[in-house]
Amino acid sequence: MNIYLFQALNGLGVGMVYFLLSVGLSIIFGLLGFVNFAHGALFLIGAYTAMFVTAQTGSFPLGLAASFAAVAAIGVVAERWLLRRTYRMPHESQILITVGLTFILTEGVVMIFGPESQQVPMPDMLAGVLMLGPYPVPVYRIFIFGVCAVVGLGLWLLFERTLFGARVRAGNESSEMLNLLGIKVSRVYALTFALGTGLAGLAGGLAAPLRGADPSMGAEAIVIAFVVVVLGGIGSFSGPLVGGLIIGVTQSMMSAIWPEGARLAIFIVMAGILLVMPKGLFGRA
Amino acid sequence: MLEKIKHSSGLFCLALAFFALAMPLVMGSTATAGVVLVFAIAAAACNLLLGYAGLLSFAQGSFFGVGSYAVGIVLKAAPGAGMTALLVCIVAGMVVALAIGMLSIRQRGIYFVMITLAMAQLAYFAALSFPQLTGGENGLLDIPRPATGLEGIVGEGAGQYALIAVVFVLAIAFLRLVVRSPFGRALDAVRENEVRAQTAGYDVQKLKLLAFCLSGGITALAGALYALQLRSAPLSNIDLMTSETILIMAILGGRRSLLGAAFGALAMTLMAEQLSQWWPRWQMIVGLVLIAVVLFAPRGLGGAWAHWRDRRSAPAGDRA
Amino acid sequence: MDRRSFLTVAGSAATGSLMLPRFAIAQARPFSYYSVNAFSGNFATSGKYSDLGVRAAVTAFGNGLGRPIDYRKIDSEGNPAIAVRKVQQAIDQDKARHFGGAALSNEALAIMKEIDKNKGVYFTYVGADEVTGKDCNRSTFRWGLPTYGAVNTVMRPLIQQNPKWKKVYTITGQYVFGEALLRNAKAVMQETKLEHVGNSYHSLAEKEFSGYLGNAMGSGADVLLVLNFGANTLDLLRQAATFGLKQRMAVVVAWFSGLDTFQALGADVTDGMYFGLQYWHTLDTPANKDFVRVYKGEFKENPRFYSAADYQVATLMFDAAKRAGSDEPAAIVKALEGHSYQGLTGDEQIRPFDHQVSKNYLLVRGKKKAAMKDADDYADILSSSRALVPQGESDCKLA
Repeated sequence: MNIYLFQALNGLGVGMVYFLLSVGLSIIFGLLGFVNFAHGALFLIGAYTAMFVTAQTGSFPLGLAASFAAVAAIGVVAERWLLRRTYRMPHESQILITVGLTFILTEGVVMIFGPESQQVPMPDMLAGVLMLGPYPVPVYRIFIFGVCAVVGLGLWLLFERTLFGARVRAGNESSEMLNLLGIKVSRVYALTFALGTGLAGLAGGLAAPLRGADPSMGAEAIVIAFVVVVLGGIGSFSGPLVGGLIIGVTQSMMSAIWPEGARLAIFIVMAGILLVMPKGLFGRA
Repeated sequence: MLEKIKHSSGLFCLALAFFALAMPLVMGSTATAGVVLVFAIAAAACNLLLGYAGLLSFAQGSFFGVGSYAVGIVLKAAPGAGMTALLVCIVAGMVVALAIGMLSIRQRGIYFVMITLAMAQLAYFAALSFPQLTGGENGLLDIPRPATGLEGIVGEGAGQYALIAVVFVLAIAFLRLVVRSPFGRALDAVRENEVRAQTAGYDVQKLKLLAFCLSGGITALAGALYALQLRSAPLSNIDLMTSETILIMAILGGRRSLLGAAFGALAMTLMAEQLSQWWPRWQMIVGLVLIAVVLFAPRGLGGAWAHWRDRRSAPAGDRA
Repeated sequence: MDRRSFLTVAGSAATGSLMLPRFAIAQARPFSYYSVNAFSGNFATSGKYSDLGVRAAVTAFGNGLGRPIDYRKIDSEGNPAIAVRKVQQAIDQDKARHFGGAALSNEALAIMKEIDKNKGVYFTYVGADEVTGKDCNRSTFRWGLPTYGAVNTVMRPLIQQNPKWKKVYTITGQYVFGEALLRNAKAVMQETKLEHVGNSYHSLAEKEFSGYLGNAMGSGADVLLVLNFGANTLDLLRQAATFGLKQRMAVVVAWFSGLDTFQALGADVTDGMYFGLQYWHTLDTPANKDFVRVYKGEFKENPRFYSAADYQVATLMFDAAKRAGSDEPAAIVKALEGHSYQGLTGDEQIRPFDHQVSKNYLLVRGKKKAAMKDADDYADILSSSRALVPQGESDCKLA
């Protein structure tokens, strides 16, 4: 086992969180054509929800569940009352309104929890380390990988094998058709929004023991999310998965090969792939 | 009245001059008024891309930062360079825009946005990687202000502001000239329907690239003025937040309205200025304002007047 | 009395009475102190505690100046450009001349130029060497040891106490501040014959440190020396804890904020690690005991570094104005240069040739959660010492 293999494995763990963060953005953008710049703030709220609920109830699984549920709820409410009005507006209006929403959500979090970086304790059961040769692999990272894999499988089943999933995929192609077929499009949108935002919240909750809960989390997350979505191809499900893994592995390997440029390498990879495949890896024409 | 201003270039320039003269009174100091004008220039240059070429660029901060660093490097090496330093910055901005543009223009829609984001990250990284040139995270310091010819007549702050004001009027008047020229109309055609424009014989890539370069050059000019105002070029001028701020101001003002860009810059700066004194969580109010603008004034501040007037004058029956 | 002389008398009486209140106002004109910090935006933690520190200083100083102290806040929003512009505005509009604070080095470096140009006086506590190094100026003072002091006072005692340590791995922020820390660390390692087995640079925006930690673990080093600051340090240490790094090598953090960052990490992470601090609330000095008493009385909690630093610099400024008997920045500067006093870390002096305060820097070790006597008892002070660049080697030549 050499350092590069270790980094690659590590990168897969990181990449899975990126997948969870980005898949919601991809689905929402694919289905609604909606550019959700508040996605990073949702990640942030997921982290803080997990922190708060875990602290109050002592149960980390409950905190994770809450991070999904709370953010999904926010997503549904925001979609119904605010964002729905902007579907017909040009992209920059959507950007402006979601940036506004980001400010409100972030400052709201600071108002309640203060501006300090907060710790989210790792559940004891997951705090250990597995030795792979001379390299320790934190159990928690394996746990994250597992959770994301299960969620990913669930999503795949949802999109490929259920009626709802079929409707989302159809709506991706043409939402008018969906309407004409008599399906309540607004319902599909609302559920999709709930799912997409909830996943971002769950990603935040999972990342919290590793990253802490900090008001600047959202800004970093939104950039990664967009990179992964664009790299993977908008609207697809496998796109964020493969894209997230590529970005995670790149980042990890670069920290062994070219540490100062590890962050930059993410963007170089994205730009490079777009040069060759302008719609991303799995994007539709 | 806004309609009249739209149609007469003389009145337009007058409005710009009036804006520039009023700013120090509105903001209370030439320093802050100067900042409003600087960002008005940057936002207007962003309008050229957004409202006319149909390009949403996250790289504006890169040009802004390049301009800041360029003026700092030139004036520290040759303090006597004076106004030529500003010309160097415009050229620097155009060159960087050309480089970024050549890599990005091929992409469309959200993919274009993301490539510009990647380029912006590259610029930020470059700024951090050459601390001998840029000062790294400390920024470039001790930038001397060029002689404005007004020394002795007015105070230094007022002289500096006069420089910014003159450049402001010239830059935005220039942009107006550009958008009303055949080139501007070609950009409109490209924005509305790229395929049709291509078939009609326009070289779409070249048009977009040219718009990108013009925007880059003028944004760099704004960055240079900012550095002169601050006497320093901090790293923050080239980061993503600056790109985001410029975009917000441009969208807020109305994506096609150059005068609106000035009002967008004014609105954001005024809000930050006034609100930050009273409540540390003032950005929440900014968020509410942005949402309100999108919902109730979708054509931005510049379009709000026209929008409201249209709704009032349309007879009740056929209000669309 | 004829009308003309009546008007003359009335006129002079009126003018006289107009002057009288102005004379009275001149007596009670407040001492305006402008504290620059990030009260909103990404570094708002700094501003929140800075505010409390200045308020404690104002309370503690009471009526020492014989008139009220007008404490004004300038919100830099964590952005040096905004800090500069607001400082310019305060100088233009309000004739501001007395400044303190700053959330980050880039803010301090930018505004100290403006303040100097406008002949003000500024006391800061940021970390960049350049503030009392190559960018030093007559108007600016700094409380807080820069990188030379931080690295030497942390590394040397530890190396002495741990003769078994032979190999060191460093993780360094690739920015000017990180490079300065590394430069000093390398000098110490060379002198003490430690083997520097490797270094990983990381960028300012980095959040994923697992790769660098992997490098460190694979290097066979006894010690991991952490040379960065702020969020970088927090993310690194959090992730180091999940890797169980502490069990395999000692972790030494040269630059750490203190109570707020301990709370951000939690005792489970910081237990057993070594940290360098500018300030810790249990410091057993007369000045600190007074300060903590005032602070706790007003705010019911232990002070963080920012509170202590802002308290110290504000108090020094007020005290200098009192000793100089004047508001004039030039007089205050003169009163500060060479001043010796009882500071929060013990005996402190303001060096006249670079305006750098000579103070102690603390080496502490993180405690186990079970051993904590109260919620804030995160660390034991192992040593309190100082190390400063001597005048001959300094880039600053003010005196």
